[in-house]
Amino acid sequence: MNPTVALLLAQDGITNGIVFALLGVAILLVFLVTRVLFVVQGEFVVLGAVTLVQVQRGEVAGAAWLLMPLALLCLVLSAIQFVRERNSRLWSLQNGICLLALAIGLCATFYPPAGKSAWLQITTVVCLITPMGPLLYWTAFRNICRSSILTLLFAAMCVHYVLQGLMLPLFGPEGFRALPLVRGRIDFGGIWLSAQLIFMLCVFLLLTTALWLVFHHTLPGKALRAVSINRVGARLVGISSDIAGAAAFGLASLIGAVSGILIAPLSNVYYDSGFLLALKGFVGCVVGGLASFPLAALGALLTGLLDSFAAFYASALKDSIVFALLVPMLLYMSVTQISGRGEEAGE
Amino acid sequence: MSTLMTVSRLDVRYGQKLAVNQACLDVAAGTITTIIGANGAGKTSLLSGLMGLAARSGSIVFQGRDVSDEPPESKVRRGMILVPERRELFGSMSVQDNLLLGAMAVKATRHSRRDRLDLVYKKYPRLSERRTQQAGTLSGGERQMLALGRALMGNPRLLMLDEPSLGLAPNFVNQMFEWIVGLREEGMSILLIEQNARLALDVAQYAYVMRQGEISPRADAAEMRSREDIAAQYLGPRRKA
Ligand SMILES: Nc1ncnc2c1ncn2[C@@H]1O[C@H](COP(=O)(O)OP(=O)(O)OP(=O)(O)O)[C@@H](O)[C@H]1O
Ligand SMILES: [Mg+2]
Repeated sequence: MNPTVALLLAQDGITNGIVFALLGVAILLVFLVTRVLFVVQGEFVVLGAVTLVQVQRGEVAGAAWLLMPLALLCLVLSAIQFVRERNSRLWSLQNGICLLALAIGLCATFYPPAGKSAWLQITTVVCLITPMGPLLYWTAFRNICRSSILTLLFAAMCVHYVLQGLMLPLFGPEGFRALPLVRGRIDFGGIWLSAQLIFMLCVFLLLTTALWLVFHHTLPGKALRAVSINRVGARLVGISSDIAGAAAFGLASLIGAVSGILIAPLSNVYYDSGFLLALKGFVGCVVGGLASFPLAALGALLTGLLDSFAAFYASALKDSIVFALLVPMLLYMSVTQISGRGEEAGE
Repeated sequence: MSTLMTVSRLDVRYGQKLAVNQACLDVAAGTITTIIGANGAGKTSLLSGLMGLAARSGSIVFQGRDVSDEPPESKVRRGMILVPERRELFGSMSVQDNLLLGAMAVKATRHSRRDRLDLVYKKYPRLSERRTQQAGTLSGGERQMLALGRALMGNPRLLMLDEPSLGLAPNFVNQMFEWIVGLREEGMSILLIEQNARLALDVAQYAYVMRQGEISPRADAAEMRSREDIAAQYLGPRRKA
């Protein structure tokens, strides 16, 4: 391997690593707030990427056809609850978001955004994907939110298979690849870095800084952290687990949409690419001990680098190599007993 | 005196085990009502059932409204606030953040939240000194102070205290009970769970005794204090002052 190849591989690894890191941060956030191991996160990335491609082609975004039925289902569930329990309110955040999601879906179907503006394309993707997080939480996870981690994981797997099953007929088996949002290379004192890499780094830093600010300097953000620190304490100060869960899922779907936009110009995205992506983000989380955001992000970046170098040396084995990384980590964790985190919330 | 909360036929179970059996109790507005009882009598379980933290059956009427099926967070919004036995603080957050989160359920502007915070700091200056310190690094007494302060941030109508003297140094216990009496004098209604029956009966107006999940009828605290059987079981030999 010569330095040029190494540099290329490193660039490749870092771009992958950034996507894994975003996935890892989202998965960790959802886990800490709701104890759900959110394998569905990969589907958000795929949806984001595919939607970007469809918007660029001027097609109707298939994601709208997932969003609208989901919103309707959620509305029906809330209507059933309204009939059964007389003290539940008709006007709630949930119903508001369902209606908003329906409006976005209709808008995207009948007035697909035209034009080449990258901002318009990005906004469309984010608006279509983000509401799916809270809607999925309310339909699939809310009523079992006090079950064991294992039950929640099964539920997440079910949601994953359902979404993947719907995405095949919706998007077909072909790969999707977006036109690059930024082009060219930038010269850093003799080292040429692709503009895409710089763009991704900027988005990553912006997003993580924004998240950090929200979690440490706003009351709602602190409330989400409070839920992850002490579930019982959070309920006792009146933090609604319903809204906290939906917020965590919403942030996850937002991060997923952004990751999808970032990854779309880099590689072909297939309807079933999500699971492997989520698993690699998850590896990052585990490397970070399933507790710390910076460590999870760092772990995911390393996973990305390992992924790309493994692809160079033994491309057939690259996924095995990445997942083999889990073994020493899990061993270490079972020795130091931090793996039980989150289960103490049993009431 | 008007009744703030009426609980009837409350059962709390953990799987097969019945921890609270058909409990009935009233809390009168503006009074301290205490529940005394030995280890494992079911006092904490009763509070968990009241708040909706544990599975329960039976009815809870608070301020004339049936709140039996409401989740804890909406009970908190109505002003039913519990200082739990285990404090349940947010250990890796600062004292100030813990207090601010206590006001999560109150409809408040940033401004009025600050006012409440200043009020709590004035009541417990020690918390003000430690405002940037992580809650997990506080001493036992300070943690209890913080738990109480956090509850007060939520503007309670009914303050439920589960063994506030647990794990406190003796002189701090007296301080704690002075605060509790002070809160009642400000008009707060308090449901006080205590193992230290003598102290509890000294400050309370009404009292219940819990035994193996069953709760006694209501009695005047003063009368309870003078009863021989209670004295023998819960008060222990009177210490020489
Ligand atoms: N989470 C739980 N699961 C199963 N059993 C429980 C649980 N919590 C309490 N119990 C049982 O219920 C009974 C009542 O316990 P509880 O903690 O309510 O008593 P207590 O009066 O608060 O005691 P203490 O004075 O020690 O705080 C005990 O026998 C206890 O073992
Ligand atoms: Mg107890």
